[in-house]
This record gives sequence, C-alpha cells and structure tokens, in this order.
Amino acid sequence: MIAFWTLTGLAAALAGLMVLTGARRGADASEPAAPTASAELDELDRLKARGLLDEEAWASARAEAGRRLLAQPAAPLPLMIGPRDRTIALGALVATAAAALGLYFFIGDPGLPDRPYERRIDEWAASAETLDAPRVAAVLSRAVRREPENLTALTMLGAARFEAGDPIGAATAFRRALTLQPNDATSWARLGESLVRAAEGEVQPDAEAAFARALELDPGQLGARFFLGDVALSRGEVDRARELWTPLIAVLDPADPRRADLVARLDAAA
Amino acid sequence: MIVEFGAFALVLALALSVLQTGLATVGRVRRSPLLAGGADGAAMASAFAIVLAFAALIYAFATSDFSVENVARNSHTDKPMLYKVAAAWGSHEGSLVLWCGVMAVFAAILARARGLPFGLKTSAVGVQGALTTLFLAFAVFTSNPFVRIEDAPVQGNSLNPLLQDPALAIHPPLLYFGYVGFSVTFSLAVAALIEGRAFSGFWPAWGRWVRPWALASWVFLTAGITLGSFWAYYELGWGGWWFWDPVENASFMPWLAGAALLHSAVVTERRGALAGWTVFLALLAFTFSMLGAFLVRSGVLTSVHAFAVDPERGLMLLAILAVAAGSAFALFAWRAPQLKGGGMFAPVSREGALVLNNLFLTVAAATVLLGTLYPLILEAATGQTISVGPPYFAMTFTPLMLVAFLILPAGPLLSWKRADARGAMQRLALAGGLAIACGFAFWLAFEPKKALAAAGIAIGAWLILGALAEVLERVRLFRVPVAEVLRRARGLPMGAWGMTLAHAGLGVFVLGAVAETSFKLESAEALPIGGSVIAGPWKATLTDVRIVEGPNYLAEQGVVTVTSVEGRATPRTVTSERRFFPAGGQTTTEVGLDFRGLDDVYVVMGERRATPAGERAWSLRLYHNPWARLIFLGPAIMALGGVLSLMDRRLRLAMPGRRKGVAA
Amino acid sequence: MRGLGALLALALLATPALAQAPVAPPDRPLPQASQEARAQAIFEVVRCVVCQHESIADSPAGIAGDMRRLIREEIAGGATDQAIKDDLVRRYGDYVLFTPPVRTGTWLLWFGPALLVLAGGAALLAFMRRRSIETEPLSPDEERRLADLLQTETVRPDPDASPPHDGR
Repeated sequence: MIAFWTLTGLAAALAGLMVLTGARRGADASEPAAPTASAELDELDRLKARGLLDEEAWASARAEAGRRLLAQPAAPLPLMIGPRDRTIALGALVATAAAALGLYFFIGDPGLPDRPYERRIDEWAASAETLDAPRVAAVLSRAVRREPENLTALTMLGAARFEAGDPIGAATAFRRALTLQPNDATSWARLGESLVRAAEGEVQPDAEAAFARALELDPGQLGARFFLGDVALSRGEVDRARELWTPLIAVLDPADPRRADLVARLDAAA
Repeated sequence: MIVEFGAFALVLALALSVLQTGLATVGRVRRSPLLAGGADGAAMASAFAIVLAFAALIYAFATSDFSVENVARNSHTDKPMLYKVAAAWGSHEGSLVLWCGVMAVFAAILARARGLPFGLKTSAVGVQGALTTLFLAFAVFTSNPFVRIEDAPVQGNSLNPLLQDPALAIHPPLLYFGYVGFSVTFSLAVAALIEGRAFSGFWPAWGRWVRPWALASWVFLTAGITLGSFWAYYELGWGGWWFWDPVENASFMPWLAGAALLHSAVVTERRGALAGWTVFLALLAFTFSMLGAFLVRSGVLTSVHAFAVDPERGLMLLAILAVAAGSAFALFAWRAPQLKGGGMFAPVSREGALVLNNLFLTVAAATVLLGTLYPLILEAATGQTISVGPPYFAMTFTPLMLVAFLILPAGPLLSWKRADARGAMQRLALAGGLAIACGFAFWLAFEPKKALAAAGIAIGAWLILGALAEVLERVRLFRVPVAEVLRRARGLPMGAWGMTLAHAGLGVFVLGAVAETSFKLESAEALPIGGSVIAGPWKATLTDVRIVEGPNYLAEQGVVTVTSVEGRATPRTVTSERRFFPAGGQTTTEVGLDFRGLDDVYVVMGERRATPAGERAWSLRLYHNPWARLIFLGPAIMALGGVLSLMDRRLRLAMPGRRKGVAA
Repeated sequence: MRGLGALLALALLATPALAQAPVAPPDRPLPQASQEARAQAIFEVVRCVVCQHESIADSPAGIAGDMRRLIREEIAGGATDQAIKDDLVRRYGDYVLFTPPVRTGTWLLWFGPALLVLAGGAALLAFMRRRSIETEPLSPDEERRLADLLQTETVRPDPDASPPHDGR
C-alpha cells in the first residue's frame, strides 16, 4: 500500500514537474523563429537555380508571391506573460492532480495487490489439501515444468487435469509420462479415458490402442476392459465383448447397478 | 500494486491531456508563452503517464495476472512470452491504450518542435490534446484495460490463435503509428485553419511542417499494411494476399489519402498553392483512420480480419469520429474560402501533374470508400443486400490506378509553373520503348498468352524505367564526364532518391501483382503418404505426416518435398501444419513456403481424409505463385523510399530541433 | 525423447479434436480442363454465404464445398456461366455474387468513380482556363515595399540556400 502511494505520488510529481518546466521554458523563450516571407521567395530562387523554373516563369512566380506577401499582415501581435498566468498554470495543475486522483478512486481499486500467476501458485501449493482440481493442476503443471522427468508429478497432473475438465491436457500429460515409463498400464488406461472424454464419449482408434496396450500390460485394468468391450459390442463382436467383460462382472458387487447393466447389454446383444 | 499504478497512470494521462488542451487554449487566446509552454509540458507529461500505463499493462500480461479482466480474457499461461506481451495490444482495450499512447507521444514530439510560429504550434498542441482526450476518455470510461476481478480465474481465455504469429505481433503497432501519425497532420491542419493567414509566407512553411508527419505516417502504414497482407498470405492459407475485404479497405483508405497528401503538400511547400486542398487532405487522412478504427471494431462489416468486435463501443467510436471530423470539416467549410491565392500554374507543369495525381488518388480512395460502405447504405435504405468484392474493384479501382501510372513518370520531369510536355516525352521515349518491349517479351515468354497481363507488365516496367530515367537525367549520365555524374549524384537531395525509390517500388509491386494474378496456378488433391500433386512447373510430394507439440498447441505437420516436374530443380523440403489450440478449441494453418527465385511454391496441408481405397490421406493444396515475392518487395522499397525522403534535411523542420535559430 | 516418435504416432495421430474438425467431402475437379477452369473462375466471384468476406474458392466451410459441387455439376450439365450465376442469385439473392448487379440502386456504386474523375477533371479544366498564369512583373514601387518587408524580418541563414543542389 505504501509502495503504491509512493509510486503514484512520484509519477504525479514528475508529471507536475514536466508541466512546470515546460511553462518556465516557454516563459523564458522569446517568440520562436517564424518562417518568413523571404523563405517563400528563396524557394523560388532555388527552383530556378535547379532549372525547374525558367526565367520568365520565375519572374512571374516571384511577382505573384511578392504581391501576396505585401497583401498579408506582416508581424503578429507581441507575446506577453500576463500577471495572472502563473496563478492560472498552477491552479490548473493542482486541479488536474485532484481530478486524476478523484477519478482514480472512482474507477480503480486502490491498493489492490497484483496477483501474478507464479505467486498464486505459491499460495495454492501452500494449502494443497483444500484445493479444487483446476488449482491442483496448475500447481502440478509448474512442478512438471521444473522437473520434466518427474513421473509421479506427471501422472498426478494428468489425473488433476482430467478432473478439472481438461481431457486434452490430461492426455498430453499421460503421453509424456508414458514416454518416460512406457510400461505403466494405469497411465495407458488413463490416457485412453482422457481421449474418450476429449472425443465426447466416443472410443476412437487411438483410445482403443491405448486401452489394448493397458490390458496387455495388466489384465486387471478394469476401465480398459469396459471400454474395449464397449467397442467390441458396437462392432457386433459379442464373444469378444463377453470375454472382456466377464472378469469385470465377476469383480463387481452383485448389488451394483453397473453389473446388471453390463449383463443386460451382453444378453441383449447375444 | 503495479496494475493499480497502471490504472492511475492512465487516469493521470487523461487529466493531463485535458490540462494540455486547456492551457493551450488559454495560452493561445492570451498569447502567453508561459501557458503555452505549460501545455507543451503537459503533452510530455501525458505521454510519460500513458507509457507508464502501457508498461504496467504489459507487465500484467507478462505475469499472467488474471485478476485483471482484460488479461483473463485475452491471455493464457501456456502461451510463449512474445504472444503474452503481444496480447497487451491484441485486445480492444489494450490496442486502444496503444492508440492513445502513440497519439500522446506524437503530441509530445510536436510540443518539442522548434521553428513553428507561436499561434500555429499552440493551437496544434491544443487540438492534438483534444483528440487524445477524446480517445483516452473512451478508453478510461468504456474500455478500461485495468478493470479487476475479485475472484481471479485459474486460467485465462487465450488469444485468438490466428493472431499468435510474429508478423501479427508487430503489425498492429506499425499500423497504429501510421493511423495515429495522421492525427498530427489533422491537428496542424485545424491549427492552420484557426490561424488562417496569420503572417506572410505562411503556407509554404506550413506545407513543410506537415510533410514529414504525412511521410512518416505513410511509411508506417505502408509497412503495416504490407505486413498484414503478408500475414493473410501465409496464415490464412488461401494463396491470396489482398481480398478487398472491408478491414483491408479500412487501412487502405488512409493510405491513399496520405499518399495524395504527401504529393499535394509538395505543391503547397514549393509554390504556396493548393493550400485549401492540402488542408482538406490532411483532415481526410485522419478521418479515414478513425473511420477504419470504427469499421474494424464495430462489427458493422464482416471481415476475415475482424477484431475486438463490440457494436456498442463501436457506436461510441462513431460518435468520436463525428465530433472530431465534423467540427474540423465545419471549420474547413467556414475558413476555406479565405484560403485562396498561391502561385498560378499551367495545366502542363509539375503542379498540374501533382494535381492529376491527387485527382486519381482521391477518387481511388472514394471508390474504396464507396465499395466498402455501399452494401451497408443500400441495405439500410432499401433492405437489398449486395456484396462488393474483388471484381468490382478490378473494374473501377484498377483502371483508375493504371491511368495514373501512365502519367506518373512524366511528373518529376516537368518543371514548375509551366512545362515543356514534348521535352519530357522525349526524355522518356527510351524508357517507354523499353517498357513496351518488356511487355512484349513477357507476352511471348508466358503461356497462355494474355494481352492484358502483358500490358500490366509494360506498365510496371514503365514505372521502374521512368523513375530510373528521371534520376539519370538529373545526374546527366552519358552527357557529362563520370566524375561530374558522381558529383551530381552526391549532390542530389535525399528526397529525390526517396521519390525515385518509391516510384520504382510501385513498379515492382505492379509487376508482382500482375504476374501473380494472371498466372497463378493451384491444384488440390487428397494424398496418401508418398503421393504427389502438380501445379504448373512444380510437383509436391507428401513424404511424411507427423505430430508436433508446440508450447500451447498440437499440430499435424506434413513434410512435403518440392521438385520441378522435369526434375531439374533441387528438391527442397517444406512443412505445413494444422495447429490445434486446446485453450480456445481453434485450428489454424501454417503454410509451407518454398521460395524459388521470384516465385513462391505454396503448400497447404488440409484435413485428414481417406482415399477412395480407404487409405489414410491428407488433402494437399499446391499453389504456384509466380513473382509473388515482388508483391511484398515493392511496398518495402516504397517504404524505404519514404524513409530516405524523411532523412532529407529539408524535412527535419517540424521535428524537435537542436539547431535553434537556424530552422526556417 | 525416448521412443516419443513411435508413441506419438500410435497415440496422437488422431488427436480427437483434430479428427473432429468437420471434414467436407473432397473436391472432385471436372475431368475437362477447360470446364474446370470455368468452374474456378466462377468460384472466385461467388461469396460463401455463411462466411465472412470469403469467396467459395477460399472457404473451407462445408456449404462452400456444396456450392462448388453444385456449380461443377451445372457446368458438366452444359449450363452457361451466366445461367449458373442467375441460378445462384435466384437461390441466395444478389448477396451471393461479389459483383454487384447494375440497376437503379447501384448506379452510384458503379458509375460514381467515373463521375468523380470526370467532374474533378472538368472542374480542374474550368479552374485552369479561368485563370491567367502570367502575372505582370512587380512595379518598382512594389519591389521597394517588398524589399522593406524583407528587411524587417530577422535575418537568418536559410539552411537550404547553400550549398545549392545544382543536380537540378
């Protein structure tokens, strides 16, 4: 707060100084050298010297210019500093400062601190337990930027982004994690899920490939099982679907509605 | 703290602009150098304050401070630093601060100018202050970039990915220097109308003060428009570079008016003539600038370049335009009848040629205005909707310009007041003959034979050769000994070289535009990896498609090998990308450009699709754009010519001067 | 970047959002080169009705693809360029052509520029005719008064007067 007011005060003072310096310089200087009639006639002489105006044309151009010059008022009124000019200038300056300050109070939020992104991440990182997913993702993405090889941070980042509704970002994070640890079945499965979410529920070839890889590495990846079975079912490969889903049905609680749903879908297809 | 400081600095700048206007007005009326000097000081202080404000805004963008609403709406933490900073002027609010900043800085430069008479300078500083006040008030009250959000979002909304491009990061500042530069010619013109014929020898001197500002603004506009056009060429991926799109037209109108102003100011400077007309053009150039700002932001016209569209604030801009331009033109209508006088001249003379130039340039600007606004007016008046596009301008604007180009090379060879037309023609006979020969050679060389294109080439060659002939004439090449030629060449003022370059650059542009428009070839096909497509002499083979991950985008990158059909040219590899930006969900195209001599081989990879055989394939568009390089080289040469002219010491006069007492 | 290439090829090639972009059916050029050239020429002057200021030759939008196909079909069916344009105007209105029609409401648009040039040229000619460009040389009295005027001015060296640029 103090720093802010120091800064604004300083800026206002500097601005005021500039105005006063200008006024003093103006008061010291005499009438600036005005262009004169001779300049116009000299121009004609120059054009003639360069052959751009022939003798006759020069004479007549000079006559035109000369008559015009004679017809015009010669010297402007003298300049003078009136007795009240200093008061007017100072008064106007003070009024300007007051107006600027008043307008700023009306429009701005005095003393509201800056919130640079880095500092906000610091704050979030300090209270990691109570954060929502987007903020966790922000904290983690900085951690990943600092340690690009940190596998745990990468997979957590993927999960956080997925939660935060950024499946494309999540997929990117999982993909990076997989370049470090290509045999991580969970990451493959989550990559697949991120891709499905990004495609608004549709299982596209790359998601399918990710699920297949996950299952190959770890038959216990139930999510992958579900999506692959879903794809198989949509292609009409009921046997393949049954093969994929049977272990899944086996582990689900009999009371779980999802279990009933899976069974029903298999039966309906068969 | 810094953000709030920026908000304060912006408000302070507004208050100081009001002070500047007030002190200048009272100082002018009381003829008090103290008060007028105070106005000069206020102009400097206002520029200082607004530079601080803009720096604070850039800081907010660079640190991704999403508690600032404007940053939250237009930035994203994943963006590279260059685009974070560029986003500061990529939004409506930020670009308005830039606009005001340029205006205030120019006001400060004007305030430091020496050698201007008291009345004229004080009035000009006052008018410039009033303009800055109008725009700053608009910024502070309706488009404040420092508005804070209590509950800062976790992530920002990102900037339109089309704008994330190095050329587009610097295109707006260049354009604004040009647009806003005309505010100074506007202020000088209004000041001249207020001061009238205050003293003898006024108008030639005034022409000399206006010219550097007009020239500098025109140079910035030329560079800005060329960069924008180049951006459209390689970023939109359509192979075109000028679409007669309303937003392009909006920037073209002040350019045309500025070009006319440059030329008519010469007449006013040298001969004291055409004063009223030059004042009119000086007002017009900035009016067109403001009109452009309104058209681009209000959304009344649809455009591929539309930017920061907001109808309500557009209306405010229209009001500012009406107040500023309306009062200036009213003043003009009142004072113009008193501006008579100046040197007389014969129809065939340097003045006559410049007047013709002005006739064509202003009618061209009027044509662009008509073509841009007519659909709006017609729809409002009768409800009929029409589209005015490239064919209309090809039938109206282009012929106008071609006639102007035919006359152009003769102008610099004519003497003032009264000229010998036959002598000028004789001196240009060789250039004319050579130009016709160029056109004929072109007609023979290029298939299919197009007479119109050959004529266009002849005109381009005529402009270049005519400019060259004029310089050679000036240094008396082949007529005096070499040492004398060199001495003369050294003695030529910079302005002369600048004019020659600018005119030749125009010719270079014409050559490129004619060849590209008449002979560009395009073909598109869906290709599997290893497949090729042929356009004209070029063959493009899709060798690979890979995924690349950018800082804030994912891209499918096509690797394309370009060879000539006969296989004589060295194969070269270019890449074209389709970039997907998750933050905004948008897709952009990166064109692959292979520069072959003057030609461009232009490759665009499109969506993925399947070949009839079910193979994975990508649509690939290949363009052969002959002489396309000249289209952008020409304006660059023109801008360079403008810079050379600016360096002419005759023009350093309305700029801050160190040599007190010498300036005239 | 261990194994990144292979992995990306596997997992990323069809990044969902990339694949989601609406894919217009590919353009099939007409077999006859002259007919295709006619089609291309028409594409340049037809506006994509849902886009910003874009011709259907440039627009990637689906409807632009449909319009291109339609025009190609009509050309293949033997329609003249004019008939095709008329058909488009019937369907979408004048708005669809980048060349505005010439009728009462658009006379000003079409003939305005030529009128301006003619009016401007005529005004210039009248202006030039009316004025004699030669002026009587200054009388001795005027010369004297002018010399007086120049005398009263501050005498300052003119930066441009010396050295003379005599390269014309």
